[in-house]
Amino acid sequence: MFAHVDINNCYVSCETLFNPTLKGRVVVVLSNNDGCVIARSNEAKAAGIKMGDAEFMVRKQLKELDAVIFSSNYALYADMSARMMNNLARYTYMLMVYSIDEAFLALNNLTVDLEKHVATISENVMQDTGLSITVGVGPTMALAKLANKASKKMKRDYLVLDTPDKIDAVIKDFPIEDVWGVGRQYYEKLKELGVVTAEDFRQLKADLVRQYMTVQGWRLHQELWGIPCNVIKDVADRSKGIESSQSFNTYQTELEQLEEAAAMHAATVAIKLRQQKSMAMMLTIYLRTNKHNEKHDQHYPSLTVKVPFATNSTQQLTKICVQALRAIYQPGYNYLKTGVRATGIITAGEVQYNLFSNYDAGKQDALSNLMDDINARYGRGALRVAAEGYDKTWKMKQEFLSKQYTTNWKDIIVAR
Amino acid sequence: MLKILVKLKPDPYICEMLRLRKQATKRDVLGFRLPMLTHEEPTLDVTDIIVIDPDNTYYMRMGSEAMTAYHILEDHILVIDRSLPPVPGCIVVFFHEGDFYVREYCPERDKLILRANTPAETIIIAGDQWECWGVVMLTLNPLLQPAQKTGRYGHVCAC
Repeated sequence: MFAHVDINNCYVSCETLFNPTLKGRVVVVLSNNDGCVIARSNEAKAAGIKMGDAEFMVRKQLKELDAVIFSSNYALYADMSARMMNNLARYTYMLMVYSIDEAFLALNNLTVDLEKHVATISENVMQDTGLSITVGVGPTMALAKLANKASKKMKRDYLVLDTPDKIDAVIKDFPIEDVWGVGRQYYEKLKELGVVTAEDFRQLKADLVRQYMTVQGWRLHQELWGIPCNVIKDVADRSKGIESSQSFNTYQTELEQLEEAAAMHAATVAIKLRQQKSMAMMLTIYLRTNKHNEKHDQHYPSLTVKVPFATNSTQQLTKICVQALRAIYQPGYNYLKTGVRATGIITAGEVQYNLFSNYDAGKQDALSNLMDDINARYGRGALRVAAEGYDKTWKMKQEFLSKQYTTNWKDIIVAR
Repeated sequence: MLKILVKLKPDPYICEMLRLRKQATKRDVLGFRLPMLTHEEPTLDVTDIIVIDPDNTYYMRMGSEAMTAYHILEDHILVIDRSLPPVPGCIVVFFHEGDFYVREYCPERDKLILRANTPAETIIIAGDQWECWGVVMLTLNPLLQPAQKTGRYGHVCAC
């Protein structure tokens, strides 16, 4: 048996925990640069605010609703997510963190009653973390995820689908587009076949599914019949590419500002590489103008550089990045975004060095580790390469940022 | 990595950097191995006995003198555990009319008394319109004199 757990309105829940006055209000969280809505309270959903709505489009509506708006506070959300996952891990021998707010738990060979165990998880984790969660349980991961969605629709905290009867009852009128892995493309295809509910899909012949929907669709078909095809992996696959990018708050035309931003992204990529103990062999840097602004000339240059020696050193990657940027930059354009992507990722330690080069990897490692330690103590960015600059005029817009209640001593709550 | 640091001149900032590593790194001992090295244990760490459930521990700061009779003075750091259920007589954090409060938890048959130094600061809640945010396990009270709060000692329980 598998359980699928997710945090209800994750980002809004995190904000509400430290600001309970938000309960019952229309609350939205905006994406990077305060661009669009990425999380909504139930009240905001009911008021018709959509996921991905641009902030300036719904500004008036939000004002009329007396809504509370937040910029994304990823430091807070990441900390609360880690707390949630560590709590969930206490109730299973195998936890798969699926995303910042979702996890799968293996629930086989329980000595206690399944329903009781799930009720305990739901109650304890909600009390201990203060975040509201929904738990769906089923014999396969797809059914667990489906149970979770069904549970939300019934306004329940958890739903256990442990018998064919219970599965049949839920699947009967469960819309096919809400099934895990059914994207827009499959949805269109299935609609042609007259498939509206998960039950309709299950009644299709396996061969037919295989013919129409690749192996993924076939697996899903199997899973809906209760035959597990997906397994829980407790170690995430190493990502194939690591990217850091961000839009500017205003158009940038000067090379110096672009260099600073690109250097910062390179440094972020380097930190991420070190965190997952890997190194990059290729680095891509790109610039973007605003494609929505028809009055401006458009320029989307990008350059991929092979790194001389696979590395995760901040210093090396920023250096390469700044050189590449200088090569692709052309004056006269209004740039809106820059980003850095590392590819060709290998495990640190598998790297081959050239006998005849004087590249000192040990020194680079020592320097990077030292930077990580100092930044861990004094805050991200306390020690950084000069190329990142000091006065970040291009920094992202975060007008409605809440405090870092759990990760910064200066921001802890003062009680009366 | 540590060796590089040790070679630098030992100024206070470097010393603090050394402290970064919670598990003190072993120095290499040249020559014969000391017999005691086979009996090493990690050194004592105060968080082992004051943070029992780190995943559910939060920190707040006391912002009033309402609880001085309970040895909770203004500016003390509060160590709060959300996983502990409140019992009569314990100190709890709860949210009430727009603010977080710290009070003694005294449930009675038909009402909940959240007691402080004086009746004026005591909060009485009828029925069950109440939610415990967390239980205060202990407070941290810095005892340094102003003259001692210089340099990195200025950071003791301060922000």
